[in-house]
Amino acid sequence: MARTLVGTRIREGRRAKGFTQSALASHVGISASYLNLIEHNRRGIAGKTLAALAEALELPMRDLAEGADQTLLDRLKEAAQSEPAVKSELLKLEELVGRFPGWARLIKRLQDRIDAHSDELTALSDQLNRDPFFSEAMHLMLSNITALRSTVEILTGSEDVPDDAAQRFMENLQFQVVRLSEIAQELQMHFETQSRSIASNEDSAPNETFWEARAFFDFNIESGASIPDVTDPKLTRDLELYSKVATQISASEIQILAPKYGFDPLAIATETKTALPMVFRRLAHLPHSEGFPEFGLMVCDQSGGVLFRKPLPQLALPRRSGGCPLWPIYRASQRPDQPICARMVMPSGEEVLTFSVAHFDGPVEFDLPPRMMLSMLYTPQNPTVLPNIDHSRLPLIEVGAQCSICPRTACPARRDAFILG
Amino acid sequence: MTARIVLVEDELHIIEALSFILSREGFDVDTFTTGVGLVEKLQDAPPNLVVLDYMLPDISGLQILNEIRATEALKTLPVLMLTAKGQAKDREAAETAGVSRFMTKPFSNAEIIDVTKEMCRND
Repeated sequence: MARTLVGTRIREGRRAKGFTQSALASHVGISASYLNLIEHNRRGIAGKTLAALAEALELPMRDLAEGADQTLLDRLKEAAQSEPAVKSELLKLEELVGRFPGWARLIKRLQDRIDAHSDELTALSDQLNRDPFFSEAMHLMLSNITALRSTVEILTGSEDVPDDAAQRFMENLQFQVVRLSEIAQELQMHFETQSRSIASNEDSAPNETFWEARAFFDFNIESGASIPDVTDPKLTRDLELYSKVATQISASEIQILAPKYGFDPLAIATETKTALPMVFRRLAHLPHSEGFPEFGLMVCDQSGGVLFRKPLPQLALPRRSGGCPLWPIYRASQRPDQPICARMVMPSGEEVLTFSVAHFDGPVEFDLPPRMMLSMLYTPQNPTVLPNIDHSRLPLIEVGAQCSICPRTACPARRDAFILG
Repeated sequence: MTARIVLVEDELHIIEALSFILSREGFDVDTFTTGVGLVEKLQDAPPNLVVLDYMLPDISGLQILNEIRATEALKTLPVLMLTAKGQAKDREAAETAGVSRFMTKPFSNAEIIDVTKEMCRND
């Protein structure tokens, strides 16, 4: 297509310079009728004549010969996919870019902004769905409203309610109304706190947007391309680790190992001679859309400070620190390099299978403890992950997300009160 | 004969209200606020219907449903699951586990009375 439209670009270039056909033709030493045929793409052009025309029009010969920036063209093609009416005009895309480069760049910029906003909205919506506080508060509110509705219907729907029962229902009603307003206040405070935290947490938000936009899987990195140029050092480190493990163990290798080992991280680590925390990273960066089980991952330092997080709807992870102290990841630090496999049951009844390990990372120095990294990989209960192990024999730990939003009020590990209790 | 209903729900005011309206309709209502050990109790004296909350403080309603369906004597016991989580995945999980009916909170008294009568009739 580019070759056939060289003429169009020459015509646009000539008009932009204010030359007539005969003036330009005479300048480069060809006839006006021949230039006319070239401009209407009826004659091919290359070599000296093209070079002369490029020089006369003060345009780089490459731009004239190859047309517009391919990235711009590709981006506009992507934008056109969302608008059926424009699809039929795709053949004229290069002409559009050639004739109206400013408008074309504006369309690209607007499309970039639309996509960025759309990604942001998706990320926010996912965040809301995963928010354990929101989920718990909604559950309480709906239960509360059910009790209220039923009680009001009893009191207003009939006259055969005995006095003592009516008195009790009136008291229940009062209690429920107060409770409902308390939950509403807690919700409001929660969202206000979250808004402030999002506003002040600029270092973690771009990372999450980056990974969520790719569903934690990057085809280019998997294909051996160098990691994208990002400004955040934390994201750069995560990308380097991802790139390293993707080179060590490809996604297709995991697929090949699956019939024998399932997705057992320890078996994969042994088979591929890869460190277990790196296998955790590998499994967390697999395309769930292609049939791989979905894995969540949390990596933190010994103080519990979160360094990497890939949350799943079954278990939300803290942004900075302060997860449930019963999670096996925190226990892993007691015996570095000793992996722990355990099932965790959430207050909602949802169960996840977890693998945790602690390992030393970084240089060793005199009189300074080495840096220890803790990793926890987890996945919704799924027999295909560990096909060679009887899951019912794995320890089952009753846990929560964070104390303040955990309804297990009798938990001995509790450090904060349940705010909806 | 009076139909017996087992109501498993952790919200005490819902228990009180539902017990009142269902008893008034002539049902015999037994109530539980937790799920541990429930299946054994159901085995000892199977009711005509179990009204089961999806989210309980000790074990989930879904786990109880799985245990009920894994118990030979309770395989066909009608179970009405109540949930404040109306999400499709919860409904799918309950349907896969063999729930008879599913009801999303909040509901009206008339709705739960109608469904209870219908399910006890079919029993």
